[in-house]
Formats: sequence, C-alpha cells, structure tokens
Amino acid sequence: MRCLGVFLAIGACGGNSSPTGSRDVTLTLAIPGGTLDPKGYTSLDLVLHGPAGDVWLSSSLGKDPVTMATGAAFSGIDLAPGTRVSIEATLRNDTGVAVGYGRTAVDAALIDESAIEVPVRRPIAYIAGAVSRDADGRASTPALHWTEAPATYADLAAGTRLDGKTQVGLQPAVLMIGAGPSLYMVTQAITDPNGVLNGPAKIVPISPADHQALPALDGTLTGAVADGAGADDGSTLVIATSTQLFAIKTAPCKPGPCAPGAPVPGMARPLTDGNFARVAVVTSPTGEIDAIAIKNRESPTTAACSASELWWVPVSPAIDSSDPVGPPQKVASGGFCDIATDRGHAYYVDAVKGDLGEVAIDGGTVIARSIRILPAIAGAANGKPTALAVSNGQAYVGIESPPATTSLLVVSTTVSADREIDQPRTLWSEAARQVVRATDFAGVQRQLDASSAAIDHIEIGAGDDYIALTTSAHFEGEPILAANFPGMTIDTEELHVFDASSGGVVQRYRSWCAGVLRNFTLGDIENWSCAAAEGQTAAARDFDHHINSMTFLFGKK
Amino acid sequence: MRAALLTLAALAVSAAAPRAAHGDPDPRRKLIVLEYRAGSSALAGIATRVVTLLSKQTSLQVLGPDQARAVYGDQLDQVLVKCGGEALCIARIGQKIGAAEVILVGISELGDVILTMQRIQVASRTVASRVADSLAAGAIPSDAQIADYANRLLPPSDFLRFGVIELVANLTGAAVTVGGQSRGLTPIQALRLRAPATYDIRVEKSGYVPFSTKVALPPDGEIKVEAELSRRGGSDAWYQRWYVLAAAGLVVAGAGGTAIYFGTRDSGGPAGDGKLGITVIIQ
Repeated sequence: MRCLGVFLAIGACGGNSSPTGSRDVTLTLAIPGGTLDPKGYTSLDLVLHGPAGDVWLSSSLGKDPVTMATGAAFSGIDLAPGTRVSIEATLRNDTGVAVGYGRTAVDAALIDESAIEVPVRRPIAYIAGAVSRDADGRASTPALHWTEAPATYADLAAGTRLDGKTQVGLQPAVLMIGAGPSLYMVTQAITDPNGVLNGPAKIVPISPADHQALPALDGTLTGAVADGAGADDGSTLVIATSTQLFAIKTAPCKPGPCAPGAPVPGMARPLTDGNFARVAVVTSPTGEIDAIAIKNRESPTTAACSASELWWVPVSPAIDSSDPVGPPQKVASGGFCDIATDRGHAYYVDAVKGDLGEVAIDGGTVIARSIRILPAIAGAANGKPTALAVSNGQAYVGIESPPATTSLLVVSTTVSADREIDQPRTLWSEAARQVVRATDFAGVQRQLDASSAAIDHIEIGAGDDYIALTTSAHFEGEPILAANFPGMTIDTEELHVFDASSGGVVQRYRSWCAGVLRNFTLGDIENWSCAAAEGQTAAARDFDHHINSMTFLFGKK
Repeated sequence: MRAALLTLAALAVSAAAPRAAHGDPDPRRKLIVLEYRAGSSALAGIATRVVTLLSKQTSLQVLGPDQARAVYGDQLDQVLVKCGGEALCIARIGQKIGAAEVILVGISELGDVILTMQRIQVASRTVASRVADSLAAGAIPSDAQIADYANRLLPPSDFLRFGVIELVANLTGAAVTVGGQSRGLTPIQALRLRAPATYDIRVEKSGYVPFSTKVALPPDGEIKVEAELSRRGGSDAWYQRWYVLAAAGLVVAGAGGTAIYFGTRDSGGPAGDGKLGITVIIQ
C-alpha cells in the first residue's frame, strides 16, 4: 500500500492494522492525464451504495506533504468487512460545481488493504448530428443538401457559453457514445438529398484526455445508425440501427488471447434483427451485461411510439462465468418511447399508457411492470412521456403536451406511501417559441409559437449534478400579407442543461434553426434569421447541426 | 407597410444581448432600480415590486427609486427624464450613487402597455441584458411574471443564496448529518448551504449520546452550532485521542499543511473498532 504522509505513516502504513484497529481501503481517482483533466477541484464527495443503504462522505482535499499527492481520508465508516459497494466520486471546486465525476463499473468489495480505482472525467455533454442546408440558395424552395459535421461539446466545468465551435476533432460524426469513462464516435455516410444514413458505419474511439481520434475499430455496422450505449467499464457497446442491434467488445481479451467462441474485440456482433431506435445497457452488480431496446419506435403508418416493441437482449455473461447468454426476447408491445438504466435496473416510459415502468424478471420471464401513471403536466391532461433518464432512483421524464409544451418531470422510481416524498416535481416546462428577424429591416421581427415540440433525449451527468436534454420544435407561420411576411416553416433543435439541485439553467444552446418560406409572393421579405432568446446561445455561422445524439461520459440514460 | 412591421416587432417579447460570457458578477453588488415613464400611468409601483422581489430572492444590495432619490437628490427624476433611457446617461446616475448596476424599468403605451427592463452596467456603461413585454391595458404582471423578468435580466448566480453553518463539536470523528445528508466526520469545515432553509443537524458517535438540533439558516447568515456529545460511560485513553495522534504526526512529518488528513481522519474511536477507512488519491 502506498503511504500518504503524515497520518498514514502512523496509521495504515504501520502494519496490517492501524492503531485504532480500523481497516483501510485505498481509492485512486484516475484522471486521464491530458488537457481534459478535471481542474480546480478542492473538495470531494463520495457515495458508497451498499446493500443496506447509501453512505455519503464529503471532505476538502489536501496535499500530502511528502508525496504531494492530492487526496483525502475518511474513517469510521460503519460497513462490514467485504461489503460490496458501488462507488461514486465527485470532485468539486470552491463554489460546489462538479468538475469531475466517476464511478465503479461493478460493485467492489471493501477489503482491508485493498485498492480500488475509479476513473474520473470532466462533465462534458456531447452532441452530434447532420447538417441540412438550403440546396439552391433560395429560402423559398424546400430543396436541401445534406452533409455531416464534427460532434460538438459543452464543457460544463468550464462554464463557457456554447457556439458550436468546440468540436471533437475534425471528422464528421453521426453519433457519440459515452461508455462509462470512454468515448466513442460513430461515422457513417449520409445520402443527399434525403438525409438517410447509409453504408457501413465505423466506430472510432476518442481519447478522453484530449479528444484525439484513435484508430477505428475493425468492425462495421449495417443499417442507419440510430442510437448507442455502453457498459460502465467502457468494454462493451450496443448500437441500434435501422436493421439490427449490434454488440461490440471494445476491450482486448484478458488475459491472453480470446477464448474460442468469445466475441472478437473490435468486431460488431449482431444481436437481433429489426429497426431499433433506442438502446440502453444494464450491468448487473456481478458484471453481466444486457441491453434493453425499443424496436419500431417510428412507425410508417401510425404515430411515433404508438406501436413499438420493448426488447431484452443479453449481451455478455457475468464476470467469471462461462455460461452462454440467453436469446433476445420481446418483452412487450405497446407505446414504448424511451428506456433508461440505473444501477442494475432497466426502466421504460410508455407514451400510450402514460406510465413509467420497470423491466423485471418474474418467474424466469422478463416482463414490463408499470410503476406509476405519470401525472398531467401544466394542466394538459393529454401529455405523453417521450424521453427518460434514471439516476439513483430518480426518474427524469420528458413530457410532450399539445400543442408544443415540453416539460421535465422528476419522479421516484419507487412508489412511497408518503405523499410528500411521492409527489412528482416539475423541474422545467416551456412552450416552444422562436423569434425570427428580417435581416434587411432593422427592428422587424416575428414571434412564432411552435405547432409541435418534443424532448428527444435526456441524460444525467456527473452523478446527479447535471440534467441535459435535447428538444426539437416545429413552427408553422402563416403569411401576413399586410406586413409582407411570407409563410414560414421552421425547425429548431436545442440542448438544455440544468443544475439538478436548483433547476437553474446551466446551458441553453440552440444547435439548429432553419426552415423554408412558403406562399412567397413578390415583395415579401425574403431574408430572415433566427434570434437567440434571453439566456440562449446559438451556433455560430457554419457550426450548426441537427442533434441526433447526446451523451456524457459516465452519463445515465 | 413599414409601420405595420414595426408594430409587429414591438409586440414581440424582445430578445436581448447575451449575458457576459465569463465570470459571474459579485452577488452582493449594489444595484439600483429606477423607473422611467413615457407618458404612461400604468403599472403603478412596478419598480417597487421589482425591488421587493430582488431583495427577497437575491443577496444584492438593492436600492429602490426612493432610496436612490435620497442619495442622489431631488433632481433625480428630472435627470432621468433627460436621459430618455439612454444607457450612458443612466450609468452616470448609477455611478454617482455608487451602484454597480442599474435596472431601468420603463413603462410606455403603444395600444398595449409596453414594459421594458434594462440592466445597465455602470462601469462599462452598457446594457448587459434587456427584457420587454407587451401587456394588455389594465393587466398587471403577477409576481411570477416579475420573477421571470428578473430571471432573464440577471445572471442565474444572483439567485443562488447561501448561508453558513459552522459546526464545532467537542469530539473528533463524530459523524455529521445535515439535512439528512452525511457531511463527514468532525472536525468539519464550515458548511455553505442553500438558504433560506431549515436543516436538521445530527452529530453522533458510537459510545456517545447523539446531539441533534434544527436550525433555520437565513440567506447570507452564519450560524454556529456547538455540539456537545457526552460519553455514555467510561473515557478515552490519552493515546486514543485525536490531537495526540495529530501532534505525533506533525513530529514525524516535521511540517504542517496537512490539515485535511488530520481533519477528516477519525482516530478517536475505541481501539479495534473494526470500522472502515478510505484513503483517496487523485492521480
């Protein structure tokens, strides 16, 4: 065990036990060692999730005078020897802002003199998507030219305002996947002029130290890439495409060569066929990895999330187990719209039933079990849940209420008899609006109310410190002849990041705002631009893109 | 044609200049709220309501129109009219009163009542942010609406309020729980917590009678809690007491500056208590 100076010279390093008889575990918070290291941290929060409940620890950080290592020490923790816990570590600066976060991938045993490593990463939200530009330079015609763009990111620890210029390398990305401490980019060609992804998709590991693109994995994926998720140790990815669900083992086999029949690192392994749009990975405390996925989320004949299927797909067995994994199975058909996982549990929202549920095993069969019916939002009885993330027993549900109000609801994943505890909270609710300005006429602007809006993705970052969500809204403005305003069709896409404790807005970034003019007549005002609302930033010219995916390192969705 | 366009523009809730990109302003800075009316008597007392709200929800030193007049002099209203809402001129008023910022509440009527609020930074003499809304004649903005205006006008950091609880215990190594959340072991640093709020505080250690209390923490307030834990029976041997180990440690290291290791490490429990210790290293 490495001695850490003054106290440990007397205590833990003095022999097998300290003078007080306490047991010591060394926890190493491993930062990547690059420009993206957490910076400015002065205190540490630790949460030990044990079988009998959570232990919360908090301390300022200090420097060891001998080794100059930064750290802290806790003692008197009332846990039995060998207790298995999952550990969350959050590094904070002087103002309490989370500047680094990490957690164990599987439960670790607290054994005397043992060493546990927890990778820690800066809280960064990544978004990626394609670009659809006006094909002929005339806003009054609908022709589009589709291209791709590098992924962009919001460094929440730095707090800088987004303008889309912070990019992950120069290579265009269609999807970013955070898998615990590891980051992956998916590249795939796009079809012009319809914007459909096609051709083989490649997976490119991205260095979490400096965002450098590493050599792409050998395997390729077929079908249009739609969603991806990773195991908390970064060793396994599951990617949904329009034709199949794939698993990719990213880590080399250990020790030595891979066993016969074992997944080959870097190669894509089809798990099951179908048009999958959402996927999440659930890791059991013993390391078994399974995927939960939604098939046929988009329907060619009916509304989205009205005739979808929930699938349970085993990916790899528990650590130290050689048992084969079971076959994929359809759990249920219904209105499944999004899924999420949290500490070994898998959850879903059903837009038709309007409920939050859990995927559970009942008598050896995987079933979908409703937890609670979600309440009406903002007086809109016909709101429906479209997006979900779960962290530490709190479900964050995106609700879409006609015509265009989106709300973020926080509700416990367990139902309590205590009504006060059980009461859902609305963290955020907004009717989508967009102001457009006539670029050639100072002061002339038009406010549009959206005809529809939805929360597309929700992800929890840095433990429970940040809640990020993406929204899309559609606006139809009728022509106003007296004002020479043509009809307008506009689409916007935004990233919102909230401080989970206060609900305060950390970032509100509009990544996309574009549209076409309709019913254009001679004399109508032709040149318009999207204005930024109060507190909102927008992409700089040529740095805008759609939001196809959003992720955090160590995010939970 | 042009007039029609301008009317449409005026009725839209205006967007505003983006907030400062870097660094939050001092949450305790002095700010004055002034009211400028362009021939309108609507929304009587709106500036006072803004002052009341900001005083409740922020730590800013907020001066209303009356207080500003008392400092500046009776000519304030005339100067304000001459300024005509122009930022440079308003900033001069703020400078004379010693404020860091001025919120100018403007009321005019263009069919509807047009309410504007400008946040003017005195040092740079520029408008940092602006909110405008059109209200139907006779309509009075609710408190929630005024709060929304303020939220859009001022940086979010202005609305985060904290108080400090300093907890001193007669023992080291006692587990401190504040508001149901573990805060480590004594001695602990002063806790900066959201305020106003009421916190349950519990300090406990095996072998001692737990200490518990409830404190109402006011914004910007500091409360000192002295936790006295009495032994359920017996007493510590001298070599088990925390300060003895701390002193010994200092002798070994020959230097100070290790307060964190002493400060968070419990050495005061009975020998062989078998409890867990975690040493954290950041690499």
